[in-house]
Amino acid sequence: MSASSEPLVKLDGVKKVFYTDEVETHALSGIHLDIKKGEYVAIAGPSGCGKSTLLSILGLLDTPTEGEYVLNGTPVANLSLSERARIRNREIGFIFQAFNLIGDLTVYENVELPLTYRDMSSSERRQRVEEALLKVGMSHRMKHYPSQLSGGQQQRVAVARAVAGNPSILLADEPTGNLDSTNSEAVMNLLRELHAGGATICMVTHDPRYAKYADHTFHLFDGQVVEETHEPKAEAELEESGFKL
Amino acid sequence: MQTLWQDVRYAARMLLKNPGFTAVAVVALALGVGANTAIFSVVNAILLRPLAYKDPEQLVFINHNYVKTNLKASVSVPGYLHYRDNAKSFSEVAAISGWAVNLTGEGEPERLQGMAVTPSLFPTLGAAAAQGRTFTEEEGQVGSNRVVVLSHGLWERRFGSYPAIVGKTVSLNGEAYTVVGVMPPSFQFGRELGPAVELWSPIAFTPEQQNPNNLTNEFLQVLARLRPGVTPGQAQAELDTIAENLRRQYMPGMDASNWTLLLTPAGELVVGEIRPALLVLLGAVAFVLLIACANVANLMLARAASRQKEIAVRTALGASRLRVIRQLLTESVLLALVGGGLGLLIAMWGVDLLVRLNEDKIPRAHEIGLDTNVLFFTLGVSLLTGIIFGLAPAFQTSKIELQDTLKEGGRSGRSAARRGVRDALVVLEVTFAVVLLIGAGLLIRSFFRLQQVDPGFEPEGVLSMQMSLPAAKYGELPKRAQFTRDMLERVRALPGVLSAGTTTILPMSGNNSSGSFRIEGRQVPQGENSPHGDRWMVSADYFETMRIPLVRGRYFNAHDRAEGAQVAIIDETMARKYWPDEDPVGKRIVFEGTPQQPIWREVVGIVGHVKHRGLEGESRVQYYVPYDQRPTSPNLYLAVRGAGDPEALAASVRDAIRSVDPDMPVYRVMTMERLVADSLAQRRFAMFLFGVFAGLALVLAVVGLYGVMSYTVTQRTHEIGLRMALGAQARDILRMVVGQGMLLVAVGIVVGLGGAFALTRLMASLLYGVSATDPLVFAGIALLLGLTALLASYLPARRAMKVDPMVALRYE
Repeated sequence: MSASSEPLVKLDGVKKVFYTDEVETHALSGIHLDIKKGEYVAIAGPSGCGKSTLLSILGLLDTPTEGEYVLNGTPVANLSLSERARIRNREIGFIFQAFNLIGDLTVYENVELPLTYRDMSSSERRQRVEEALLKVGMSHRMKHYPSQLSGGQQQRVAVARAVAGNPSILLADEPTGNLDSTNSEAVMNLLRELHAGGATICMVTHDPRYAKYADHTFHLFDGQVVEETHEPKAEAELEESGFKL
Repeated sequence: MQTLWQDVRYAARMLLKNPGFTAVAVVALALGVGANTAIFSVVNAILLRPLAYKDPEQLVFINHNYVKTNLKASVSVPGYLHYRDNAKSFSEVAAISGWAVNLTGEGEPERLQGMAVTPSLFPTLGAAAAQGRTFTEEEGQVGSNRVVVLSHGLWERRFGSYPAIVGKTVSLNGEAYTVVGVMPPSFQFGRELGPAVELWSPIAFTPEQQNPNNLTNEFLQVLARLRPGVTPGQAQAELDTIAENLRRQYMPGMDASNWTLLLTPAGELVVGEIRPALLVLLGAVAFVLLIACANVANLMLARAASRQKEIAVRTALGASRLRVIRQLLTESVLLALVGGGLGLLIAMWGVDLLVRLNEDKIPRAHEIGLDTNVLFFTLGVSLLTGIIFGLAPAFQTSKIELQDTLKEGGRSGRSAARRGVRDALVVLEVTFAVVLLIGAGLLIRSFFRLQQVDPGFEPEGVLSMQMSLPAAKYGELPKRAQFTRDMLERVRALPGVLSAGTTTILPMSGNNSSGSFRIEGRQVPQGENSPHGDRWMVSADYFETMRIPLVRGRYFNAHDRAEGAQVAIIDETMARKYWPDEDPVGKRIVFEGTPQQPIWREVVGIVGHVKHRGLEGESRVQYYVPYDQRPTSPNLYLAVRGAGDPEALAASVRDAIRSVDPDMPVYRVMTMERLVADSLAQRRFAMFLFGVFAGLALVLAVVGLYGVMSYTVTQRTHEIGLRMALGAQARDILRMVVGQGMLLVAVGIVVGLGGAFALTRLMASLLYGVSATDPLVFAGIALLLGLTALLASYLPARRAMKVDPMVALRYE
C-alpha cells in the first residue's frame, strides 16, 4: 500500500539539548521531518547520532527543547504529562529492542495492557487482543508468560501489543537488535505485513539490511538529518522478496 | 471498576511472586495494626463505649469532699436522704453499700459479692428484672428487707437456671431471704469497678443512722440520675448550695474548703486513673504503626528499583502518572489489608491475654473485646496505613526517566532522590523508636523505684485470707471476739506457723476504713476539720505477724480486752503530725462514745507507717484499736506468717478455721506478696505494654536501618569495588558504610531526644520518683539505640568489606 500525501507526523526545527552540570549536549539540532499516513520510514545512523532521542520525541516520551511537533494535526510539543500519556496510548504503538514485556503478566495481559488505560469494555478488549495475537501468530500462547517464550516470540507479542490499540503510527526502536537473523527476518516481515495493511511505521535501525524495507530513510549524524532516501516499494517488489499480501 | 479489579489481581500476583518481601511487610504491618487494634479495643471498652444503662450520660455519683485533707469520701445516710429529698436536679437518687454474704444451704457454703441498695437503684439505672421484679419502696424499710434480686450469672451457676426461683428463699449470712427477681444477663452493675456483683438486697436505714448529726458518718455510694436537660454543671451548682446550707446548719465556721459535695459523671468515675495511661498507650501504638509504615515504605522503595522497567513500559503504553500511582497504591493497600487481617488475629489473641491477665485490675475489663467499632477501626487503620506507606513509594516510583529506563541496562536518574527518601524514613523510624524507648524506660524506672518503696511491713512469708462473720451467728460482739481468739489459737498451733493475727482492713486489699478523732485537751480550731485518719481494729499479734516495726511503747497484748483499759496504737506519721515535740505514748484520743460519755483511749505504742493504699498511694495518719475492744466489724482478714512457703499453709489454716466454725467461708486467700504486686497492677499493665511496644519499635527501626544499609551496599557494589581497586582498605569501606548508617541514626537520636523531651511530659502522671526528662534514661536509651544501630550497620559493612574489586567492576 502506498503512503497518502497527508502528513501524519510533522517535525519542524526540533532541537534537543541535554544539560549536565555546565555541559550542554546537543542531541538533535534542528530536525525537519514529515511522515505521511501509511508511510514506512526508517531512521538510520551510527551510534550516538540522536536516533533514539528523535524516536523518544516522536513517541512523546520526551519533549523537544525547541521546535514544533504536530501529530495527526495536533501540536504535541508542549502538552501536559497526562495529555501526552493519553495521546501515546491512542496514537502510538511502541516496539522496543528489548521487547519490554512485563514478566508478571501473561501474553494476553501484556497485549491487553494499553487497552486497559482506555475506557474500553472487557469484551472489546478481548476481541482486539485476540485479533492482534492472531495477526502475529501468537494466539496459541495467550496464557503463557514472557519467560516461557523465545526472543522472536516475545517480539511478536510486543508487536501485537503495539497494534492492538489500532494506533496511528508504530514506532520501532531497533526491533531486531536482540534477535537472531531468522527471528529478525520474521519480525521484519511482520512489520511489512502491517505496513501493507495500512500501518504507518517509523523504525530506528543501524542495520542497512532492514533500512531498505522502508519507503523513506532519514540518515542522522550528529543530531542532524544529513541524507534522505526515498524508495517506495512496489507491491510486486514486495512479493518478489517473499512477502505475501 | 473493572480496571480496579485488574489492579487488585495484579497486585495480588505481585505480592505472591515476592513472598519474602510480602512476608516481612505483612508481619511488620500486622504487628503495628495488631497493637493498635488491641489498645483501641481497650480504649473503646473503657473510654469510648457508654455504660450499658439507659441514658448513661445522665448518671452521676455524689461524694462528700474534704478538700483540705484531699479526701473524697462516701456519703452518710442523712446526707443521702437530704440530697434525695431536696436536690431538684435529679430524677432519681440511690444509695449503695457493699454487702458480702455467705450463701449456705444446699451445696457448699459460698462467699458472694453483693450490694445493699435502696429500692431506687434499679429505676435510677433504668433497669428491670428479667424474671420477677426489683424492690418496692416498702422493702426499703427495716424488717421488710429480707428480699434479694439475683444476677443472671448466679441464677445460672448456683441455681441451675431453676425456672421457679422467684418466691423461693435462700440462706444468706444464716438468714432467710426471698428471691423476688432475676436480672437479665446484660445487667452487670458493679462489674465496671471490680469483681462481679451477684445479688442485691434492699438497704434499710435505722432511725439512729438517719439522725442528721451523723452527716459525716459516711459509708454509702450515692448514684443519681440527672433530670433531662440538666447539665452536670447545673447539678453541681445546686449541690454547692445544699452543701453551704448543711455547713451552716451542722458545721458552723467551716467553708467549702473543709467540706463540700462533689458530683462526678458515672463514666468518669468508672474510668478512674487509667485514662492517662490508656491515652499514652494509644499514642505509643500509633508510633509503632508509623514505624512499621516507614519500614514497609522503605522496603517498597527498595523494591521499586527493580520495577522501574515495568513502570516505564506502562507509562510508555499510555498509563498516566495518576494511573500508575493508583496501581501502586492498590498494591500497598492490599498489603495493608492482609497485614490488617493478620493484625486482627494478633489483636484477638492479645486482647484475650490482656483481659485474662488484668480481669480484676482494670475497669470494665469484662467488656473489652472486638466489636464492630474495633473492626471498623482496624479496617480504617489498615486502609490509611496502606495509603501512608504506599504514597511516597508510589510518587517516587511513578517519577521515571522513560528513555533511559526503557533501554536495556538503563539507569534511573532518580536513585539519589529515592535514597534521600529512604534515609529520611530511617531517621523517622529511629526518632519514633527513641521516643517510645524513653517512654518505656521512664515507666520501667518508675516501676523499679516503686518496688524499692518500703511498704511498712514485710509481705514475704505471709498468707492472707478474708472472712465475714454472719450477723445471725455473730450478732453479739463478744461472740466475734471469742471466735477470733479461738481461731487464732488454732492457727498459731499449726506446724509451720510462726505467728498469726487479724485485722479489719488489710493493707493494699483495696478496702479502707477511716474516721475522725479528737485529742484530749485540744480543741479543733474554728473552721478546721477534726483530725482524720485510717482506723483499723487488729488482734494482739497482728503487728508481729506483719512485722510492722514498733517505734516506741508496746504492741497490743492479750490483756487488751474489752473489760480492760481502752488503748490505741498510732503510727509514726500521726505521732509526728500531732505531737511533734512531745511523746504521744500516754496521751489520749477519742473517736467513739457520746459527747457526754466519750470513750478515751490511751496511746500505748507507736508503730511504723504502712503504705495502705499501695506503694505510691498518699499517706494518711493511721491508728489501731484492739479488735477485742471494738469487734464492730464482721469483716476480718487473717494474716499468717509461716516458716516456709506461705501458700503451703492455706489448706491447714482453712481446716483450723473450720474446726472453730464449719460454716465459715474463707475467701481471697493469697500471699501478701501477691497483694503488694497486685497493687501495682495498673502500673505494670502500662509498663508491660509500653515495654512491648518500645521493643517492637526498636526491632522495626533496627530492621529498617539494616535493610537500607544492605540495599545501599548492594547498590554501591561497583563504587566499593572501584574504591578498593584504587587502594581503599577494608577499614576504609567499613568506616564509610557504618559512618553512613550511624549518621542517619545520630540524626534520628537527636530528633528523638528532642521529641521525647517534649512528649514525655504528657506521661508525668504515670511516673513515680523519676523526672519526665530523667537524664539517665535519655542517655541510656541513646546509647542502647546507638549500639544496636551500630550492629545493624556493621553487618552490611562486613559484606561490603568482602567485595572483590574484579567481580564488582564486572558487575557494572
